Amino acid sequence: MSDPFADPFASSSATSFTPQNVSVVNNGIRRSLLPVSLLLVCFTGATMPWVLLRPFGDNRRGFNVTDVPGGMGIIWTLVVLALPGLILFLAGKKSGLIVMAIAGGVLGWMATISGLLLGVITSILPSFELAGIDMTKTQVGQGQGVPITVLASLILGFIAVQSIQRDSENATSFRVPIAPLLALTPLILLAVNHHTEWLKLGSEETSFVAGVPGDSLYGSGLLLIGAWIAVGTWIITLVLRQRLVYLFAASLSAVVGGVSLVYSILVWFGGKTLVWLMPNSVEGWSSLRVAPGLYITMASALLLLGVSLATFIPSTTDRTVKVNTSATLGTRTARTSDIAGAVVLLLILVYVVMRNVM
Amino acid sequence: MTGVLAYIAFVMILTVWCLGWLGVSAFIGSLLDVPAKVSVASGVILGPLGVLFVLLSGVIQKRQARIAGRPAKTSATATPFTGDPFA
Repeated sequence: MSDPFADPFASSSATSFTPQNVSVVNNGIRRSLLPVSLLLVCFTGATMPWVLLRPFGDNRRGFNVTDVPGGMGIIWTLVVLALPGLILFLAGKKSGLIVMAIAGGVLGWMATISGLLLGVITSILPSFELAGIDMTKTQVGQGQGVPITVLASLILGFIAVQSIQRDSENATSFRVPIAPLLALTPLILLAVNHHTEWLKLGSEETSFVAGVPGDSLYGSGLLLIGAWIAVGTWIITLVLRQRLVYLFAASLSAVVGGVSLVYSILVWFGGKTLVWLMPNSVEGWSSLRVAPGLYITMASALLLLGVSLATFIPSTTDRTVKVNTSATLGTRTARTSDIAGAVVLLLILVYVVMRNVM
Repeated sequence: MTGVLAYIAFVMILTVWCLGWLGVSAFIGSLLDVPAKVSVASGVILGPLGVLFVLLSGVIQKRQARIAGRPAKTSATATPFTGDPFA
């Protein structure tokens, strides 16, 4: 009689096609803190603002999935789905990690779909233009909860998929390519900064203050989708270290970086020209200033473009950095993934405390 | 009542999303001889990125097999049925 509790995903015959495969036959999975903390990040991200309302006057309001009718029901359904996964994972079953990744992935895709729907809704709203900027679009934007949830669910998802392909490793260290790490940092900064203010119109002294974020510009939705696909593709390069995947990711990132750079230069140049042309600033009741978000976007786009173009040189992708699977903290030795998980948990704790205090 | 209907709508949308990408991923995976477990899990968890992952994995696997001069690995071995089903 077969074992009714046997893990369906734990077959040792899974074919791994990664050349760096250093596997041992193992039907279970190593318990680690990182997937658990990533799942918690997904749920915490779902309670952060997904949609931001920025009416004139600088009074922001954020909405998340819990504000939608039926939203709390969905969250609890996913908690009920994730809990057995967590128990199975802690029992050392691969299927537990898969179930946890599905729960996190559903939250991530909900965040993505909400962002796409937001784009559709704002395109329906009647436009009200001021100095060539659609002020209607400046009033509605995506909150910081979306990139956090999407990123955490993507990393958790890739960890789960990798666990199917590859059995538990017993290597003491592994080599991580530098190119994806260098590309992912400016890409994530670009995606997050796209929703922050690039320009600020009006004066703090008057009630009329309008922030112009990157997502209010024409074609920004497509650019953002491209940026997130590029993020996913660079994460794939960490798993499939092949020239073809590098070239695909670099091409996509070069387009995203190039377009973002042109956007930010045009907005910066336009903003400066507008300040120069605006006679109202003399009275002090109206002004236009460039926000730090625009400079961060400009620098990130430039760095991303540089890294993407450098990736086309074959020797660049061969450069790796050695990461030990365990680290010594005083007299104790801890696994690197557990340390990363503990840091993420600490960040969640700090965020929750700060949110309740402020 | 609105909450219940919205909940049902949420569940339906997410089910269609997950199952849809699972189908696409499994189809591409079967064409490129990617192990079924990998293609199904990638499609459900990673959605469109999972499809991209399966596509790239399959293409790389096929190319490596062609360079090595061996037939591409198949995920399942079919046993030919020779008997009469109406016997």
